[in-house]
Order: sequence, then C-alpha cells, then structure tokens
Amino acid sequence: MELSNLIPSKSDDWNIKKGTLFYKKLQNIPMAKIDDEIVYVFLECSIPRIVIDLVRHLMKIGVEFYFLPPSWSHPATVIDNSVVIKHYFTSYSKDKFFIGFNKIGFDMMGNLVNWCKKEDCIPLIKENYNEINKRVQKTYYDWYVNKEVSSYSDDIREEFRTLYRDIQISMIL
Amino acid sequence: MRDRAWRRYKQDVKVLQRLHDIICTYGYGRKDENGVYLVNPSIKSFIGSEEYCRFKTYTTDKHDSRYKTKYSPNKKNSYYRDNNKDGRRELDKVLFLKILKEYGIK
Repeated sequence: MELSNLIPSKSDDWNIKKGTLFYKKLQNIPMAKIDDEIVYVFLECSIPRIVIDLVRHLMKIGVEFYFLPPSWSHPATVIDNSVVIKHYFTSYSKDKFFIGFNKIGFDMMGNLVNWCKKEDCIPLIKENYNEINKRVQKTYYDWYVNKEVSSYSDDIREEFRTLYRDIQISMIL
Repeated sequence: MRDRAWRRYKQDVKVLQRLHDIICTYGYGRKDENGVYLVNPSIKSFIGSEEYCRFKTYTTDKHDSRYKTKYSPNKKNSYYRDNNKDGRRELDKVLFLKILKEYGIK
C-alpha cells in the first residue's frame, strides 16, 4: 500500500513528504501515515471537511485505518493511549464530525473499539467516556431566555447518553 | 491572470499577514482547535479557528482602499472624480492624445 493511493481528490493541495501525507491550507498539515500496512489518519479538528473526505475515500478502497491525535505526528510526542481515546470522543462531540460521519455512514465508535482491542486498552474507554460525557451534558442557566442551555446540540447530547451502551455492543460483536 | 487561484493566493497572503500580527498578543499561550494548550502558538494552530474565519472576511478599514475612487470605463453611473490629481493614467492619456493632435500625428 502506498500513500499516493490514499489521496481522495486530484487537488494540488495534497502532497507527500517523509512518509506522511499532508494537506496544504496556509501550511502543510499532516493527514495520514502508514505503519505496518495500517493507515493512521490524524484526526485534525481544524479541517473537518478534508478529514471526512479522506475517511470516505478510505472506506471506499476498503483499507484498515485508525485515528490518531494530530500532536502524534510529531516524533517527540509522549505516547499515551488515553489521549487517543479522549481525542476520539472529543472529535465525535463536535458538530461537523458528528454530522459528517453519520452522513457517510462511518461507525466511529466501532473503529475506536477495534483500535482498543488492537492496543489492549479497553479499560481506558470507560474513564475517558465519563470525562467527555460530563462536559457534553453540562448545562447552564441563561437568564436572557429563562431556560437551561448547552453549548452542544441536542442530537449530540442524546447520542452521548447512550454511547457507552453502543460501545459495549461493539465490544461483544 | 487574475483567476480564482490568484484570488485564493492573495487571500491566503492577507490571512497569513493578519495572523502574524496577532500571534504576539497570545503571550500566555492558547488552546488550538484540537484542545491542546500551546505556550508558543504557531500559525498552524489558528487554522479553522474563529480568528482564521474572521480574517478571511474582514473588509478593509484603511482609508486609501475603503474610500478609494474606483474607475472603470464600463461603469454606467457617473460619479465625481478628481481628474486634476497627478498620477492618473487616464488623464495622462487624454493629455498625450491632445499633444498628438496638435502635432497632427493623430
């Protein structure tokens, strides 16, 4: 498998340097790398549309891929599996990723469970889920409109309430 | 050619320039879009942020470009234009044609 096969469009913004696939938006942003025939996509929250395009293309060509936080593209980063799981949840709680992945029919939590099975870190899911879920469900009282409001949309909050059950089902399957 | 690619390039140049100007104001660091706290934020950490989107759509507030008298020969509506001001090419052209007519060249 080669990195050039992963490029989803004919755009000149995509380029490959030193074994990493980059997308140029003002500066080169690392998007993907290949390690032991497995594609690792850097889940960059600043350019969600490009990441969703890349994921759609990877699903189309049928390769095994997982996500990593963008900070892991730097070789000096300390490797911690908990950071990856937290980044999965944080990205999923963002509007653009939530809508985009549901639109293309990508099971992000299934992907997370597969990655945890590969890395033997399934117990870390629960604690990270609790942390992010607490943040998502948080509401505050808006005195201007006299009601409880949240910074996350209702769909995302509803999804996060039952998300751990979905993860457990993915674990069994 | 001033096509779409050229316009995008010029917009990127402008956004980069504006981002360079505000980077020094984040002396205590900044959280990027991925939730990572950076002590010395770079331009990359601003991509996709609120500032990045704002800088793309900002209109100019400089007097020389905002209140500039724009000239176009195809413009239908007439408007006031100070032709006596030096350095205008169309005025130079009128003078040049006058001189040419005087000497019978044109």
